[in-house]
Amino acid sequence: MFNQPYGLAVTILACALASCAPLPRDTANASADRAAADGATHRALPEDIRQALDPADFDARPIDPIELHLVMKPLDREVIFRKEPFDTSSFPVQLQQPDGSSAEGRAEVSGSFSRRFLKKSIRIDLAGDARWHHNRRVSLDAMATDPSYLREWAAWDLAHALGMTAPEVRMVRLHINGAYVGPFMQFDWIDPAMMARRGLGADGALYHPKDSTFCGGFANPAREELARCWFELAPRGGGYTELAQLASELAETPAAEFDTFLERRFDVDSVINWVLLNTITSNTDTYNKNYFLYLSRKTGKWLVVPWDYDLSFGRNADPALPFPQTILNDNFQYFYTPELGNDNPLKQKLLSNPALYARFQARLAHVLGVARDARAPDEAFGWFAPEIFRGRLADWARTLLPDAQRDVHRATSPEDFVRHVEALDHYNLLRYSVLRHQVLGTTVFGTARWLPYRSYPPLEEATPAAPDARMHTPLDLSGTVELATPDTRVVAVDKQFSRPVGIFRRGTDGEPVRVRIEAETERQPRVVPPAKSPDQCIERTWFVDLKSPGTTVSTDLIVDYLEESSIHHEVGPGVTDQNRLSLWSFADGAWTALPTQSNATSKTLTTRGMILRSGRVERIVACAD
Amino acid sequence: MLKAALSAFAAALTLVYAAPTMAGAWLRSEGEWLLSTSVATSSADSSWNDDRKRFSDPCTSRRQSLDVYTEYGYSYYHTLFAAAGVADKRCRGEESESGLSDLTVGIRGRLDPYRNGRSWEIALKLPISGATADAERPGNGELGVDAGVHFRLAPDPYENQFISYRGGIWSWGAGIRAWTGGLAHQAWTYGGWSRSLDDGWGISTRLSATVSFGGRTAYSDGSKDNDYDKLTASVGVRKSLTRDLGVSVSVSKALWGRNADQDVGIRVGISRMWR
Repeated sequence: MFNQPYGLAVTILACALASCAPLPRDTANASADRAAADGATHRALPEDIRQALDPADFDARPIDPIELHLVMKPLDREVIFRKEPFDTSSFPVQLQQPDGSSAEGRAEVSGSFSRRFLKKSIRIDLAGDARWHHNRRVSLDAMATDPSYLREWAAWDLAHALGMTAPEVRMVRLHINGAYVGPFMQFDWIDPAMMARRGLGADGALYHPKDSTFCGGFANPAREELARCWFELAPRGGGYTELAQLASELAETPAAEFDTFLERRFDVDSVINWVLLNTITSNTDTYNKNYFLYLSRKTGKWLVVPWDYDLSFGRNADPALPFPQTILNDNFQYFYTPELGNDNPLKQKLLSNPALYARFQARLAHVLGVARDARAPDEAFGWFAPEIFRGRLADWARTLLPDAQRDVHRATSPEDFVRHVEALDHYNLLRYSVLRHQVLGTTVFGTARWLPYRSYPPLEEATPAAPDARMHTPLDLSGTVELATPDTRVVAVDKQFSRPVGIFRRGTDGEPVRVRIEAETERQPRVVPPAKSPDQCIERTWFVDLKSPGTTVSTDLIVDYLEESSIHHEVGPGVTDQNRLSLWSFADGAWTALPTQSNATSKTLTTRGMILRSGRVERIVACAD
Repeated sequence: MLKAALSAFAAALTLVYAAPTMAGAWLRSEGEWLLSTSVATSSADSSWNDDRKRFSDPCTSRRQSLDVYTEYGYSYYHTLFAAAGVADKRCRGEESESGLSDLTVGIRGRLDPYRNGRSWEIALKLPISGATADAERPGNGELGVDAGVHFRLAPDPYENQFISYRGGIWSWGAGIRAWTGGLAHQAWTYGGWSRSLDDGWGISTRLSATVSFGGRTAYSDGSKDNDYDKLTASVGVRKSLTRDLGVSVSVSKALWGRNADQDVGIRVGISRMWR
C-alpha cells in the first residue's frame, strides 16, 4: 500500500535537473502526472545544483540521434525481424543518404545472443564504393539486451573521453519504408580502414577473440590454441605470427618488468584505459573475449580496442542459472574490485606492477574527479563524478525516452527504461563510492585499503556433507556522514570494506548533523513487522541513528540490498516481486511503514522525508507487501 | 557456448533433413550449402505380389546404393537441391543389376514466410544416360515431376527463442509424382518424429508410404515398371561431430507392399554444411 507506482522518476530527473525540451504529448503528460504524484522534491533542488548538472557545463556529448531511412520490400521488412533467429539470409535494401541519393546494399541480422530478440541488430553491406559515415558495413545495434539503451552509449562515451582508439558510435533513429522502427546504435566497423582513419595505418595486424570459445585471455600461447581462440582479421592467413609472438612475450614477462615491456610493445594508455573502462563499468564479460588487438606498423606498437558493454553498469552474468537467465537476469552488483572479469595477463600484470598500478590509480582519480592526471584528456576529468554523471544521464534519458516509448520491436516497456536509467544513476553513486574508497583510499595508517591480487583464505563451498558452509562472510557494515547541505546526496560508506551502507539527502536547511547507519547483512531480520514473516523480507537490517544531540532532521534515505547472483543474495524466499518491497521502521516500540519507492534493477529502496530524532535508533527492514 | 549450442541445433536440423530421399521441410539460409552422402545396404528374401500377398523369393536379394544429395540456399525464400545415386542388386549366384538413379533437381519454397519448416517443393526427375528401369528402380528412365509439401508440425521450436528446443518434433509431408512414358503415377506421404538429445546426439523415426496408380503392368510379371505400393518404417540416430559436420545411421524395414521387396536395410550417412 505504500509502494508508489514506479512512474517516470528519471523523466523528472531529466526535466527537473536539466533543461527540459518539449516532449511528445504522452511523455509530457506522464511526466506531469508523475511529478504531481511525486511531489516537488526534485524541483526544489537549488539553482546552483541544477546549473551544475546542466550537461552544457561539463561539455557532455549529447546523443543527438541521426535519422536513417531504409527502403525494403514490405515482406522483407517484416521477415527480417520475424524470421527464425539463426537464419543468416540477407535482403536487398536501399539506404537513403543525407544528400538525398540512395545506396544499394543488402541487410542481414547480426549478432549472436541478441538474434533471439524480436528487435534484431542489423548489418547493411553497401554495394560498390557507397559509404555511410565512412562505413561500407553499417552496423546497427538493436540494444535489445539493455532496457536503458544507455549502457553501451555511456561506455563508449567514456572511451572517447579517455581518447581511446574506439569505434565512433551514433544513435540512429531507424525508419524503414517511412515507418519508425526504433533507436539503434551504429558502430564504426572495426577493421584496418578504421585504424587508418585514426592515423595507425591500414597495414597492421588485427585480432579479435572468438565469442564462442571464451579463451582469448592468452592462457595458452601455443599457435594452434590461438587459432582456436582468435579471429585473425588482418592480414588474412597470416598464421597468427604476431599474436603468437605477443602471447609468448606476455607469458614470459614477469609482472615486475611489465611496465618496461608495455612501454616497448604497447600503446600503454590503451591498456590502462581498457582496464579502467572495464572497472568503471564493472564489465565482467571481457578479458577472454570482447576486445580487439591491433599491431600498428606505423607506431610499431599494439593497442587494445574495447568492445561490447551491454552487460555492464551493474548487470551480472549468472552461470548457476539456466540459459538465458545466465545473461538475462535480475542480478546487480557494483562492488567488484578492478580484478573483475576473466584472466588475462594484460590486466593481471598491469595491476600487479607498482608503476602501472599507480598510473591506473591516477587515471581512476582523474575519471572520478578526485585529482587530475596530466596524461589523461580533460574531457575525462570527473566523467564518473556522481553529479556530473547524473546530469549526463538525465540529458541522455530525456533524449531517448520518446524513442523508448515508440520502439516498435522493444522487448521491454518504457517503465523498464525508466527503472534501468534510475538504476544507472544508483550504480554510479554506489560504484563511485566503492572505487574511491577501495582503490584510492588509504587506511588511518596511510596504507592501501586494497592491493591487487592479494590472496584471501578461501571459504568453504557448501556441499551436501557441509550444507551450512558459506562462500561469503556476512558483513556488518557501518558508516557515519554529516548532513549539511539540503538536496545533496551523501553516501555513508563502511571504510573497512569500502561498501556503501546508505545514501542520505537532507531535505531542509539547518545546522549540520551527524548520522550513523549500520547494516546487518545476509541474515534474516530478527524482528519483523506485524503480519510479516522473515521469509517475506530482505535478509538485511539497517539501523539509523541521528548522533547530533537534541536535533531532528528530515532526510531521504536510499538503501540497497544484495542480489549479486542466484546463489549469493539477500532476497527472502517469500519475496516474489521485488518491485513491491516496502521499508518498515521500528522505533519507540512501534512499527511504521515508510513510503517506499523500490527499484528491482538496482536493488534500491528509497523513502523520502524520513524524520530522524537524536536518541532514537530506527531499526529498518524491507518486506514484501 | 551459446554459439556452439546454436550450431549444434542447426547441425542437428541438417541431419534430420539430409535424408537421401531428400524430402525435407527445411530451407537453408541464403548462400548456405549442404552436401550429404550416404551408403545403404538392404536384403530381402520375400516380396509382395500384385495381390499384396507375400511370397518367398528364389534367392535372397542384396542391394547396395550410394546416394549424393546437395542443397543450396538461393535466397531466404528459396532453396535449390539436387540428388543422384547409383545402386547395385544381386541374388546369390546370379548376375548383378546395377544402374544410376534419375538425376533430381528441384526447388523448395516457404509456405509461411516468417518461419522455417513449412515448405513446398517441386522437383524434376531427369533420366540420365545409363539409367535403367530395373526392379530396384535406381532410375526410371523417364521424365518425372514430383510436387509436395512438408510440415514441421507443432510445437514450434522457436516459440521460445531463448531456449534450445529439446522436445520431440513431429513432421509430415505428402505429394505426388507424375511420370511420362506410361509409368505409373505415384502418391507419397510420410510422418516422422525426431528429438535432439545432449552432446549433439539426436534420434528420429519415420513411417513412409508410396502408392502407385495407372501403371501398365505389374511387377510380378517381370516388367520394368514402377507400379508398386510400399510402407516402410525407419529408426535413426544422428550425431553432430562439429558445428558443420554430422553423421547418421538408420535402419529400415518394409512393413507392407505390392509388387515390392520385403526388405530390411541400414543406411550410413555423413553431411556437411558450409557457407
